Amino acid sequence: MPKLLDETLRNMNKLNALFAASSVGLLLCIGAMVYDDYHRDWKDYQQRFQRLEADKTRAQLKTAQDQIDKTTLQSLETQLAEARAAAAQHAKDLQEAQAKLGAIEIAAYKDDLAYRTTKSTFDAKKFDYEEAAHAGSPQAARIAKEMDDLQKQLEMYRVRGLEHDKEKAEAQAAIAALTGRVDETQKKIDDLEAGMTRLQKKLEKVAPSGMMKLAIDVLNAPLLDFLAPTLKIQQVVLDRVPIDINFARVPRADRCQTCHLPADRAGFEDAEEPFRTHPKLNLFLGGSSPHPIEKFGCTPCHRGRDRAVDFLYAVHTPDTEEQTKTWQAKYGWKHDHYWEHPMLALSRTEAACLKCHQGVASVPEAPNLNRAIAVVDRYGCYGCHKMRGFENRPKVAPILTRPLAKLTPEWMARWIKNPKAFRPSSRMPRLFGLANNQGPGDAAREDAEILGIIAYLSDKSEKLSYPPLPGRGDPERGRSLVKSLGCMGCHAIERDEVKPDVLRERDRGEAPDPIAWERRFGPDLSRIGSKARPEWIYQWIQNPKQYNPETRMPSLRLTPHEALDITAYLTTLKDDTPAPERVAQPKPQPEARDAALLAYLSQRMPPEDARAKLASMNAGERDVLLGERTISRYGCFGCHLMPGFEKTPPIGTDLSDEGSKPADLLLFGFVSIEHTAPAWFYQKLKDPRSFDIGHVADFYDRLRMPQFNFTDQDAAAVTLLLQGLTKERVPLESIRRLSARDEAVEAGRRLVRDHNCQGCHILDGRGGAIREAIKLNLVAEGKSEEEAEASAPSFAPPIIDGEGDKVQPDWLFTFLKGPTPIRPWLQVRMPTFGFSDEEADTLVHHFAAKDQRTFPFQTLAQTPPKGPELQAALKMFGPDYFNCWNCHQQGARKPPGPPEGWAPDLMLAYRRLNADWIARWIENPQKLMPGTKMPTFYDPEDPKGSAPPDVFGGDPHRQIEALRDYVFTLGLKRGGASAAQP
Amino acid sequence: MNMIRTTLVLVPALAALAAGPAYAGDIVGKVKYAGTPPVPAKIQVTKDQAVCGKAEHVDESLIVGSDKGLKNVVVNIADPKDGKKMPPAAKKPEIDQNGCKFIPHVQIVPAGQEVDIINDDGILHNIHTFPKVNTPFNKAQPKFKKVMPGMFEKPDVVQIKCDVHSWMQGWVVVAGHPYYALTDASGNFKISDVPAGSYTLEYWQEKLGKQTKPIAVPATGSVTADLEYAAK
Repeated sequence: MPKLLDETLRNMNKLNALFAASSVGLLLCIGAMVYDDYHRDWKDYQQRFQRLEADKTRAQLKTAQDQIDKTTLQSLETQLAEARAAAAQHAKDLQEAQAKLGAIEIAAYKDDLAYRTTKSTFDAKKFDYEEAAHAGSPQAARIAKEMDDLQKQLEMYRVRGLEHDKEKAEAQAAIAALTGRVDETQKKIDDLEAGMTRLQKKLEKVAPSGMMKLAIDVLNAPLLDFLAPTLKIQQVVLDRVPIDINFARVPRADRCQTCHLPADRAGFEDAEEPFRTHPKLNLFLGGSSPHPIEKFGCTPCHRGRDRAVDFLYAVHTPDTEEQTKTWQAKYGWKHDHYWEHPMLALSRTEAACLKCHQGVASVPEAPNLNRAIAVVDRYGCYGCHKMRGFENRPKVAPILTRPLAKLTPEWMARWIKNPKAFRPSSRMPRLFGLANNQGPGDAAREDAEILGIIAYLSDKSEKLSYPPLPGRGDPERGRSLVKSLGCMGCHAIERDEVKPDVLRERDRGEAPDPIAWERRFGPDLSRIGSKARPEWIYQWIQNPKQYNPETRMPSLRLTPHEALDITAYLTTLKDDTPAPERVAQPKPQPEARDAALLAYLSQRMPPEDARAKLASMNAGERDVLLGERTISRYGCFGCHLMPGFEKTPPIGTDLSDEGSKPADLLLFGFVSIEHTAPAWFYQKLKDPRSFDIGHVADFYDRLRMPQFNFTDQDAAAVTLLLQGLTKERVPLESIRRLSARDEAVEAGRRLVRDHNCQGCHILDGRGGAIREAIKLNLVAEGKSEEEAEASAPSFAPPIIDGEGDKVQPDWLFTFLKGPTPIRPWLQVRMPTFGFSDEEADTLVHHFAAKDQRTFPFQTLAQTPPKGPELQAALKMFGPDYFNCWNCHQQGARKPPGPPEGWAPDLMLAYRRLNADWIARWIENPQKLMPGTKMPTFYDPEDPKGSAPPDVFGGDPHRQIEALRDYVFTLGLKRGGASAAQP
Repeated sequence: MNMIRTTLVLVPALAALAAGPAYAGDIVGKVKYAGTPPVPAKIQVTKDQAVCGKAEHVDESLIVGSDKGLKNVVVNIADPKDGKKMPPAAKKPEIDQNGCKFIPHVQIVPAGQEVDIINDDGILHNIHTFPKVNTPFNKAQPKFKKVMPGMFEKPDVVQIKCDVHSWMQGWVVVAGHPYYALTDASGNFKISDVPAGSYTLEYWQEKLGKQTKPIAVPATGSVTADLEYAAK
């Protein structure tokens, strides 16, 4: 043991051992740190994907190999061997030919060099000459002579060059003759194996082997991987759609593709996530799609943390309970409260469309979002809540400026108490008797409030009463009119149409509404006779705008007689609910009324003053005041135009940025649901007052949102829409801008929606809901189910896809303003909507823009056919040929038989139809309007064979042209070539 | 072990035998209408009187013959098991427009066989089909086109109409297999050579719709099926 020196305090050996041990320890630590830094989940994903891609490529290669025709390949290879053997026999000739070519190439090169040298000498001389000639020097003549000599030399070399080219071509041809077969066969083999070769190359790239693999492993090795690793984070930087991080807007750096590697590449549609191709590649991510990955990335639509390269850190959101459980088990998933933009659950991704697609009636390929927009529009959510994209929309409910002309106070009271009891399909929500008003005294107060509302309306509304009916209509005729004139495009009479058990199921929320959405545009008429006064019905159906200038109900141009019959029928549609099941009539509750009123008054004045004020009012005044307060509290004026509340602002929460609200700003109360915003929205929509349960609050402080009875599907759709209303603002260049044509289409679409055109017409491939009602009516008239199904389309309003192509803009404008019957066999009437000039113009432009037609002016070349053309047209119109007048109306001359068999008046064609459309229609009407009664005269598969053989030698084109010109000028005044003004 | 092998050989052999015509029976029977036989309503001819008005037109949608027998009912097996296709008819089927009527009013046509659409009237007719699975067509047939081809690709029940003469209606039942029959004027029908086994018998009438009845076909001889529609 060495002796302890003065200078050392400790045993050096021990210290050495300690330092050695700690440095080893530190080294291990560094090793662990390097490993921890190096080992990332995303690298595993990338390696897994490489294996996947290699396997896939191998499989493809195998398929490609199997696909090659073995016998062809074999015979080609034999041919190649033969060709090579044959070429070998002429090896000497080939050698000679190649030597000859070499000699020619050498000579050609020399001559070319000589040509270039001479040319530069010549150019120099030319410069000298020009200088000398300009200066008037005597040298000029000498230089000119030298130039001439050089010129001759140049020409000689040029000609030689051409000769060499020719010789070279001959020599090459000689070589090709000897080797051609070999080359040709080789090329055939290469072509055959082209696909395989490409895949082989790809495989080398995706699954490198040997030295290449080693090199790549080195590049990816720890500590060396800063150089040029092949495993690396994939990111796109998106400055067009920035992300808002605590008031700073920064470009997104989407790193999703670090794991979701092939998201933008076809070929991995069936792979497991995260290695699956985006399911809608031609809409998203694809290079030629409207949302290419370089510009839109992933998180602008899906949300989540853009920079994350870890499953949890990216804030994935599960879509179903099952997925939640799987993720919890697999990744230890839980809600991440620290990121304000969690990923949207997959089924609600459409929510993100809204921020760029603003102010449109529908977003292409977003069915759930479009459903939500339609629901918000129909239910008028924007009446109480400010919502971006729904500004300046009309109030959705009837005006209440003179309700007593239409309704009785008794009916109104029961209706307000529970509208769904009288009409389950009503969009009027239930305000009273809900979960947060079940305490002692609440029922009495609510009765007082309801009667107060009616007292208020009676007091403030305009006094109007209609004269008694001029006579008694025939309800049976009325029924037939209601079912056939077109009322059923917007209204249903569910009691007649659907079996009671289906309705009961719907009422219990177990089945969707059996009536088409379009036919819920207007109220269900099942019990209308117990609701509206007959005198009101009689006036209303004749002129709806007279009672309510804002109504969307159009006029069907009813005669007073028809109106009387319809009134008689509608009056028979009484409430059939058995008395015990009916809503109890609210009774006057003076005590509850006074207590409520006192509570209201005490909010603004000392209790003694409040009591004094109350005492100064008589019973009627008290009712009216309580009514006014109740209307203020519940915001009835959000949907109804009401006297005294014309300018009152809406009462609901502003929802414009609702989607950005973190869950902790929402009051979940004692409801046991997931504490996330979408879960709260859904619960609020389904059961709006439930968050109050368990809370203690005065009646005027309780939740007010009424019960709409949304279906699960609609509540989910609106939840999605709310998630889309965020405070995210995208720069102008990312907002979808519409072209002028698209703008015209879009503007028309809004009118189409607001007037429910699709209730009757099929448009954009949707709608025609009235057909179902027509079918039911045909069955009611004694037709069999099958027959009714088959013939309903011929009694339905026309399909108006392609209307812009079909009719002249002028005519359409006039028709929209004042419809005149076109199809005499149809009982259903195009209503008069009372379009303004601007609206009619918008619609005409909409149809023109959709069919790429010019708008508003167009040339009408209307030359009546003459001579042989006229003869041909007349002949084909005749009874032995197409017999057109057998069905088509000819001005005042009606076709034979009953009107069901008639067809449109051809005398109107000149101002209604487009000439090219007439020709296409004659050629194949079924193509333009499937199911039309107009038969096909020219078999589309054999127009020539089916054309009349003795007109223009059976040439269908000339025949159709003659018919077109004839039809297009039929209605013109004789001698006039210009179109008469519509 | 040997037994099993024998059975393995025998079963397919027996199955092959069973599929042969030797084990096939006929279904014969009558379709009746339980209600009071309606007096066929007269149809008003409203157009082309000179041609269409020659013969009297009556509503042919429900014709009851002697002993309540119901005419024009299509009886067929709903679930044949032998996979046989209906062979093309020896004579090309015809849809004849004669005196502004479709003749015959109901007929069975093999799927995929071309039919002749004939216009004997020499005036404009059009043949408008209302199929459920086939592609509908609506072809004009003016005077100069006496015969036109038509085709129904898939088994179906197709109503045919003429839009020019709204009273003209007929039916084409497109058969995919051979086990179809049409009742005669007294409601009798016969489906021949049905492989023995249990089936669902389907019967369809244009006005009364479709009904079914289970039936067992014997290996030889015939089975009688008496079918009935309740009064409507």
